[in-house]
Amino acid sequence: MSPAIATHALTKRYKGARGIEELTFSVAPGEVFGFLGPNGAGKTTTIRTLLGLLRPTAGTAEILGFDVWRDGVAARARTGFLPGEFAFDEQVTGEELLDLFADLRGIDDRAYARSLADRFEADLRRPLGELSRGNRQKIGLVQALVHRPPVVVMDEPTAGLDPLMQEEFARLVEELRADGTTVFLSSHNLAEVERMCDRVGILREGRLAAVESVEEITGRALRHVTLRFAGPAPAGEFRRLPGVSELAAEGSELRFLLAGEPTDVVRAAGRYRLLDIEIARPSLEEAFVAAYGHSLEELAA
Amino acid sequence: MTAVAEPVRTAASPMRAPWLRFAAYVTRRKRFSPLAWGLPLGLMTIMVVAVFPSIQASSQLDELINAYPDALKEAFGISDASFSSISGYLAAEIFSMIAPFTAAAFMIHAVATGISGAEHRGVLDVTLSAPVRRRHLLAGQLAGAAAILLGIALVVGALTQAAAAVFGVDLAVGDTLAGIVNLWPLGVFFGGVTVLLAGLTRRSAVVGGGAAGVLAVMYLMEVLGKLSDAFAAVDGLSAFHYYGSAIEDGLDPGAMAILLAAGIALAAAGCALFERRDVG
Repeated sequence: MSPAIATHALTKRYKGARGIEELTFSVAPGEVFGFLGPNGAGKTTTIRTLLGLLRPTAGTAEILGFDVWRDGVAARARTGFLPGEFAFDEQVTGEELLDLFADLRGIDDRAYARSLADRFEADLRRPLGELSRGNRQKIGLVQALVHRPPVVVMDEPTAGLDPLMQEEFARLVEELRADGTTVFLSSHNLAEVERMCDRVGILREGRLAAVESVEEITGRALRHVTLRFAGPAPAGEFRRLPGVSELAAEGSELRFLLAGEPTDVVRAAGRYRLLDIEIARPSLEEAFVAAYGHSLEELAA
Repeated sequence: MTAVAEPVRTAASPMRAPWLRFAAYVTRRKRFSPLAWGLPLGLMTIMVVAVFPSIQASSQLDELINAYPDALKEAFGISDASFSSISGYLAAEIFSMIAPFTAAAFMIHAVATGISGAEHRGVLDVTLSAPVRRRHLLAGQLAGAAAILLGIALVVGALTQAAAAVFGVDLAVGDTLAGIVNLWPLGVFFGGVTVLLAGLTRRSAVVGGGAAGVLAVMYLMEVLGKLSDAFAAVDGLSAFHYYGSAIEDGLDPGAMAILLAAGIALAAAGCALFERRDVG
């Protein structure tokens, strides 16, 4: 199956500023792909290049087989876009804005737009200049989906949304995935990416450091293991097991970090009377640190 | 929260002439501009019309004006009829400089804020995420602003004619109409200059300031061209050379066509440049 989004050695250089260097990746149809990286890593440059706002210095990018620069109109007809901070003429109401974009996209039926606006409690009657950032973002979200695009590109989509709306947004992404829509979203919120995305691309200083599934990243990382025995904890036996580190025993409780499969640990624990076992899957945040040695914030520094 | 309507994916085809939709959007957004820009200019015109009867009655003023050098009178649009006919007086006081400067300034402001200002505020990121060619956006901005300029001219014309009726001044409707219609091609020309600059750079201060600079330089070229033979050669390069004094002499369709064609050509060049550069 042809990818929904594909880049090949995509490069954008600015005078005196870092852009992106030779990004090659693809996003499958129906996939939710997270683009991770600290501020300034090149996430927004990549998105602006995908939308045909920036002309690639080298390389190519395609959306559903259409080159984003040469066949930009065809590519954008199939794409919805939500910027990180939705900006439009401040005197315009949400209703007028949605009318404009529905017309430009050749949409006669406004029922879907209205139902989305209702769902996100977007105020379409007041001028955008009178709305909070979060409320403007809601209208931007409706605008991005008004034509039911097969590909949706979002730059920090939940910025400014309150927690309830972030929850609603996550549900919407789930529905878009179920509907076969490809979602490409950039974020520096790892918890958000972990919840919504199938795979992530990690951008560092304009270059793609890795493209992996969330499962791969978290699966490779260390797990927090806690065992509670009926008697004194057999620390010595577990210390010798492969993958075990930072072991600490306190009375009947044993805590340690585990790399790799838990088979040996479970087998060893099975020889004792065990009251409780807890193997905590690391968050993407922890996995990120384990994989790259730094948090996103540290990478940005 | 209500459930969202079931999405039914359809292959929507983008608009065929999105520039018309952009133009309609601009005219709606700027629907109060005919009053905001037309009223101040119209009020000045009313004052000029109101004082004309007393000016006409003053013989000393005629003598004073006749004493001016011919070149100076020509440079500033003062003719022998300037103080003996209302059309001449309006030409000297309003339509030689203030009105064309207002028309040009409106077009520069409207096009610069609609393109470069919108680019600076991040509005174009959203607008150009729609399946439209960039040239349609620019053409729509220019066309919408030009439509509003007609509205401004009509407000000025209506106030001028109303003042003439109130103060008992004999001003032919045809003369007023010629005066205000003549503003339009000049405004479109400077709109075209602004589109060209917006195609060249994303820096909004350069676009607005540059177009205003072209306006000032062209006016200076026209004035100097009339004052000195040394500047006569470059006078033809100024848009004001083709503007004339329609309220006195009637419309010059050839000159109007040159201004319009030049404005559209500059805008077309701006569109071509804008298509190739980075936005935002």
